[in-house]
Amino acid sequence: MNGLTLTATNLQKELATLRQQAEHAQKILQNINEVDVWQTPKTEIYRRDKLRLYHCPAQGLTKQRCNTPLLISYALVNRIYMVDLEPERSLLRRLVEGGLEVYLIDWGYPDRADRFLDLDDYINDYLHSCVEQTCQHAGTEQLNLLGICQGGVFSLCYSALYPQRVRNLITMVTPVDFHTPDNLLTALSRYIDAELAVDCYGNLPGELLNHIYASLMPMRLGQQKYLNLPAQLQTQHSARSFLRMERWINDSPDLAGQAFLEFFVQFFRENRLMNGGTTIGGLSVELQNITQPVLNIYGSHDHLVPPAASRALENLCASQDYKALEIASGHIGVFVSGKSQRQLAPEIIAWLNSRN
Amino acid sequence: MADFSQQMDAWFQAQQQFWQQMLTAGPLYSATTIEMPQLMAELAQQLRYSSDGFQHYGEQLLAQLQAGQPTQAVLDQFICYIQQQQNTLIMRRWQLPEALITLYSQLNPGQLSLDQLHNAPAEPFIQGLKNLLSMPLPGLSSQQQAVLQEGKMLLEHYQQALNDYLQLYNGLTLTARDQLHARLQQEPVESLQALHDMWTDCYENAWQTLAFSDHYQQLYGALSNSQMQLQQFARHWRDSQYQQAGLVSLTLFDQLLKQQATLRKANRRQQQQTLHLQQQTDHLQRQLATLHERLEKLEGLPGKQQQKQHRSDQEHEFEQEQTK
Repeated sequence: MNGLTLTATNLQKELATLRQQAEHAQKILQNINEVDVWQTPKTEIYRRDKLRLYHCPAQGLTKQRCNTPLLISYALVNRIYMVDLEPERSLLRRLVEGGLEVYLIDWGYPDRADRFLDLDDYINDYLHSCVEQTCQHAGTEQLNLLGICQGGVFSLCYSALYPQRVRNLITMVTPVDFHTPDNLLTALSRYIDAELAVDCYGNLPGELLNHIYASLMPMRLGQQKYLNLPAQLQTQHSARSFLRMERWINDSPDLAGQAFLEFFVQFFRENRLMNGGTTIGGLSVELQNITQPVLNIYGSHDHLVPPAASRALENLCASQDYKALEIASGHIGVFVSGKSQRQLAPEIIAWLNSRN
Repeated sequence: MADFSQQMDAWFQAQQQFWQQMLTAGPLYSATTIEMPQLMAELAQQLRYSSDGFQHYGEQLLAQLQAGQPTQAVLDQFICYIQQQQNTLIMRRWQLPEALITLYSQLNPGQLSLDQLHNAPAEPFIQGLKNLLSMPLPGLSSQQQAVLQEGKMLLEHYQQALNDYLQLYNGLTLTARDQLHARLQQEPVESLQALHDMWTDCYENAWQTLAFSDHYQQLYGALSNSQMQLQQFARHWRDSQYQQAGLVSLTLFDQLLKQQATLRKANRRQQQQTLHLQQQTDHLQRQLATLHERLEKLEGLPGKQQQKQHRSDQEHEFEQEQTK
């Protein structure tokens, strides 16, 4: 107990500071009515059921401009505006400023009527339609596909099923090997009855998924986070930044029941990308069909998708032009950390331009 | 007759409330979109709650320090405080859905009110429910009584799973405490915040070890599944009530949705086939046009023209003979 040198005087000062900060933070919060996200200009070019496809035109004058459009496919369980949280922390903005024509899929919010949407609907129908619409809009036969997290798994499946449509493939924080020993999400799901979950909820509630994510670091994302709140809400600017992230975290669409069940069984339970046997709508997914250039990006501190889970792709696809890019951050930090802002978008732009 | 009508009215009203609750919000799994005013209010509340709690605890600690109490007691109190906070979060995560509580309380509103259930600690609350379900309720058939017994059994499973889970968390706190003691032997801590940071490190470290153990995963799965089984039970109960009243149950609604999804898929495949056939037809038409063009070109050649003329003359002579 030698280390605990807490004195009454120091504690008194600390509590006074905490009180001041908390009072000030309350005032700051009271003066913010709303926070804006997803500010990069965009146009809706296609809609289907709850899905929307947006086009973000290239901005500025760049020496080299990529002729092939870039389609970004995000996970179903969170909203796409993670890539455009605020101007200073926006992968999207950096990409369009770098001369890329970017298209974004917004999967929308599934409701009870979407309970039986399955992976076939999402990949062979929705994603395929978005690819066709993007190519038609851009006047090209092929596109570059960027998949993030679960959207990365979709992109892998799509590229294997329709290799002729994808010129270059980028996967970001994408799980491939779901059974690495450090995958806590898989470990916690081992004894969960997924069929019961779907029967019970219909669609998996986004809020439930948020609780599961938070439970991966219960103290850090629970008490510690709230205890640090006053310090984070001391200025309008820092408070807005914090609130944008909070807004995104809490803006969790439900997950269509059948799609969840298929994803859970094929990937979490049976690890089929590694073991083989993935099928989407009756079509066999062979990762060996992926021969186009592949850029695989992962976070070295990612607690949701451990680096080894992503790195497994290298030995599964048949690309002769495979590159792995490690970003020194966690799952979300890959998009929003200051370091990634300087590193990530320039790497993607350079990689695509050299394979245009 | 009037009694029956009143009973039906009361029953419909109760069901309407229940469905309203189901549709609007359970305590945890509610709307998908997030309204900023709601988020702000929740954050402000959370800020106040955690700051006030920490402040209150800090003041107690200050009094202890001023009274010259040993650091061991200070530390024990700190861990006790943190554990209480953590237990509150755990109970919030694993509490029964409000809709389920409503359903049970509707079975006999005189004995168990929603407010009581919410404010009661977990164990008396579940005990109350179990007592309620153990009693034969007037007006229910033996089949319905059997269903309630099934509900009681599920509640017992849930209670057992919750108790086992909480015990595991208590063990986790002890492990984290031991780690904290060990680190305090080596690193100086001069502030409450630093102590909390160190505690967080120790706790997360102990948690990682625990979470990867098969024992924890089994208990986590058992608790999750038992909570879901209770919800499923409530849904089946509700469905049977709806069916008896000649109304569309959620199960039937899901069956319709499934049929719609199948039809939608079949429709998509037919559209694709039609498109494919259309493309093939277009292709064949283009091929036909090309062949026709080539044929015409061939017919335009000198040799071909003579053959054509000869054929035409023969046809002409034949027509004249027929006329004669």
